[in-house]
Amino acid sequence: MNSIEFNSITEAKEALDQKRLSVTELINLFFDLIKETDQNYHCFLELNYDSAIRQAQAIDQDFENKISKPLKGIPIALKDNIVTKGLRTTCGSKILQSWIPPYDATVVKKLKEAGAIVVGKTNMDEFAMGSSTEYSAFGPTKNPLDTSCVPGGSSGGSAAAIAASLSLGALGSDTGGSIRQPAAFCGVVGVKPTYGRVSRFGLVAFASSLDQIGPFARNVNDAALLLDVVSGNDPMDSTSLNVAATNFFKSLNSEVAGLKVGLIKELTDQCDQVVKETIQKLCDLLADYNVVISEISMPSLEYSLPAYYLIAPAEASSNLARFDGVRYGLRIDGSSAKDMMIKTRTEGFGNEVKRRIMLGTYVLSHGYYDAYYLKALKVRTLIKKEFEKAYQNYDLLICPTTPTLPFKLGERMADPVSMYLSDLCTIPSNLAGHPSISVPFGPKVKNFQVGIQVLANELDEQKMFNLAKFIEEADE
Amino acid sequence: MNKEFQTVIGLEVHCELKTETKLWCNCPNRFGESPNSLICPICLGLPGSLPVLNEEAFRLAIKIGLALNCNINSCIFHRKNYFYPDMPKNYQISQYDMPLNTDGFIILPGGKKVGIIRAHLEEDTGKTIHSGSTGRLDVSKEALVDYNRAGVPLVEIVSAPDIESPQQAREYVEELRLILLSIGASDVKMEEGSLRVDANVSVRQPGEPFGTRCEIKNLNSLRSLVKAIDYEIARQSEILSSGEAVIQETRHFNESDGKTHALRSKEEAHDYRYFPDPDLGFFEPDVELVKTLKESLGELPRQKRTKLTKILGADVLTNVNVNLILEYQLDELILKTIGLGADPKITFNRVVNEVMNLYPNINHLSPERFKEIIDLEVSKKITPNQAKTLISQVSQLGREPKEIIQELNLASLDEQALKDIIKKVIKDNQEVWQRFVKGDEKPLKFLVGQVMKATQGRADGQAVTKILIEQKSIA
Amino acid sequence: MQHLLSNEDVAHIAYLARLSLTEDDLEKYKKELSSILDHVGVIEGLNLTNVEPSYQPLFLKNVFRKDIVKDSQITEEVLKEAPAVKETMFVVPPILDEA
Repeated sequence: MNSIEFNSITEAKEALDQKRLSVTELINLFFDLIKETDQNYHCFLELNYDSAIRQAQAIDQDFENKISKPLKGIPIALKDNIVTKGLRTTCGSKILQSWIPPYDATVVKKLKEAGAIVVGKTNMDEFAMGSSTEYSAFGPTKNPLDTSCVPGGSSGGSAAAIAASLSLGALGSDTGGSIRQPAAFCGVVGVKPTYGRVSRFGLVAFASSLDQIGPFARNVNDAALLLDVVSGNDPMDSTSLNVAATNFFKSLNSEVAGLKVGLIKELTDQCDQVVKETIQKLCDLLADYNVVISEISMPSLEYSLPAYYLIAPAEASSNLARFDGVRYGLRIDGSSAKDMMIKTRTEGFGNEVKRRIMLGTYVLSHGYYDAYYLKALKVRTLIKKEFEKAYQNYDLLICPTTPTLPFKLGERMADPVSMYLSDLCTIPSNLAGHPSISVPFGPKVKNFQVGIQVLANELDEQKMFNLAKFIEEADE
Repeated sequence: MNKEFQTVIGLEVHCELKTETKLWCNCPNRFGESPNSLICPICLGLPGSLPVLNEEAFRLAIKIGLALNCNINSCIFHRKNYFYPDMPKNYQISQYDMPLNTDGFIILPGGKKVGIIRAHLEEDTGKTIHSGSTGRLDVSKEALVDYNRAGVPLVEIVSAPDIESPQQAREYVEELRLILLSIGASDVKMEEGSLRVDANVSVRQPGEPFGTRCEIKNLNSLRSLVKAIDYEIARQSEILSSGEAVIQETRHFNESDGKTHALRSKEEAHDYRYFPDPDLGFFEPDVELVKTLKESLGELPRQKRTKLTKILGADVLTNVNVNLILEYQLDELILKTIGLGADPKITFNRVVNEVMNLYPNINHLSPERFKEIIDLEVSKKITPNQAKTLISQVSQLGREPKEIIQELNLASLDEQALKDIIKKVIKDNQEVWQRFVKGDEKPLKFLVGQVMKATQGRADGQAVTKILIEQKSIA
Repeated sequence: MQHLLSNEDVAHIAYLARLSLTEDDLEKYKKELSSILDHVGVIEGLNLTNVEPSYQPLFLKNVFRKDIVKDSQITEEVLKEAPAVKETMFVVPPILDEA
């Protein structure tokens, strides 16, 4: 584990402002660390060295420019399913192993406008399908806290990069927990915003009605700052909320007295003992600080995993149809166009992706649509309604981020269903479209803390951040 | 023995909307440009791209629904999933069970009512060119793909199976074309692909339920439409007459042999796996908007025909290509000119004979100028030939009739001056004149021509002929 | 297993998804998919007749864009990334059947 002088974006910004070091020095510091240590973790698939240094030098040489930008000179890592112009974007897949996109995702544009410097693209489960980053076509990422364990997934590379101090901030994507679960496994902060907060334009789609881009950071403050930068209505995205960019960072505080918080029974009961104990400790602590904490039962959440594993693969099967060797990416030649497509996709996709594509194809196919897909969409309504009801009586909800501590590399590869169970606690937020954050808390067990999830009602991230900040401060 | 079969035809017409940009992105909606020059991440379906609906396409689609007497509904978009090289995403964003326009109809010129089941919005695909020695699908060595057309807005208009003959099918398409043209929704050029027609044809015994239908594709003109349906009716009738069953299949019309052919490979029953597109919300036509669009429709072809008939009389319109008049929007010129007081019959004749041929270079022929010319002709101040010349000059140059008349010295000759000129021509062409007098008809034309030459076209050909014949009788 | 798929089912799904499976693959995926369907199939039994489906968390109304041309100019970069190009067109092997 690296230990560096700057443990947060705020600290680095301070150092830059005070000219304790230049942007070029800061960026080089991180690239040196990456060069020296990333072989232990394999966080990065692609580094943006030349361009990053040029940008850093440009900022340094621009003496006159006093314009303050929220992320000026700050290194940011991007999950490799976020499209970057001129910088290879693979989605962790062989089928895109050398794709150079001709455009930037909206979030990338926003980061650049904020002065941030993209240092590289991080490893992920292929097309974001997985919970351990072991399904990457380019080899897994190892958990910096214990390299015999997985970092979680699918945004394992981004989470690990923050944990190993190889970047100050990172973006990932969360469809069923792919930001929050690796954040928990790697002991960092990860946020899934309200669906529609952050533009999906330029996020390679896995499940369109569930995907959201969100930040990883070392602390809650940084996470809020990152979310402020990348959020906001985007006219290029028809599912983008018509709300302005957020301002959570400025209004962040850890005042929690009087808040009504519910501990979700169904999502806690199924967790490992150590996880249950930790969250109980948290509840006791919250009570000490005059938070009204009680258990809430939300029975419909029992069906969230099945609903998710019907909706997500269905949408994915359609979203991934475009990868056919015709216009970009891998092509394996064939005797006919159809033959070429079959060969390309068979060779280019890994097993988990194929599994989900086939599951999704089946679920949407003639005769099964009503029984599976349509029903799953109705279950989603039930879940959404159950959350609405809960928020009539509670300000926030909490539960563990994942049922277990990080598992070992290879442990769950044999049985796909066992891998799916890892998403139990995170999936409901995606189905409802609600925001949720994971913060590490409690005593370390074998290097790992437990990740605590704070769930909020739609658009209520401020409250969520505040409670998360409290938990973070209480943890110190 | 050949039984009497009744034909049942339903037509699916795709028309490209006349918008500046494509359906989901800001790429230009243009035809005939260098391949793959009109593309962007969205219409190319690059990973990470997302669709956003073109407001104008939505408006035009509503206008089409209104012109076809449809219900205008709140709607969503579905994904139609299938793999094909001209499909950037390997799904087409279309509409399925919640389309924009439903349950309409049109009435053909003869009075026949054809139901419109639906008219929905969808995106167009790219184009594939099959290269290779003969250019035919199955012997090409490769195919080339151009995505300029991918994402162009289409409205698919599905008729009820109310059409009863190939001629009626043609009439339907012609009327639909005129309606779409009249409301400014589309250029409807079959030769450019902005209007495409697929025909569903079946036959049955009168009173029996619908027979098995076949879909006919690759109809590139109205002529092909009629020929293909004719062939298909004969083919299906023969099959049924011999006790066999018609196989439901998609058939392609082949221009060169005039026949429909089933596809060589085994037809795949497509499972399109329709589901609502999760990248889009829903679309609710605003009541005020629909009202405004309805008011902006203007008169539709059916109403224009009624007006023309009323003013000109049905007789005048028979044997005239009224559809072409409507297509060129000349009905407006006719009605306005007559409205100013011009002679209806002559106005109409001049339009049919002169103006139609000058189209589209007729921008300067305003109703006022046109009326002036007609009035001059009616009052015999100019000859019919001179009227034609004026129409041509005014249309193309945009000058005032009076100006041109003066300049070209087009005012008619008075009768005495004309007689003098004729006498001179007779004197100068004695040999020919004698032949004419003796009974040879042929010289007449030559003599008239000489007179016209001498009068620089100012004489009225008919009057000259009359005078020559008079002279002959007194010679 | 309640949801045991047949070999034909799996082969058909694979074809629809343009994937080819070996005999071993077929067996493997058959087992895995059946197992997954068993787990998720629990919702089949739910009575949800009066529940509306949620296609999307937000389902926004009337999101439009203006009909104004913007030149994206990505043709060159795109063709560079294409597996096979002839002049400015994408080349694919012969298309032997119609869609």
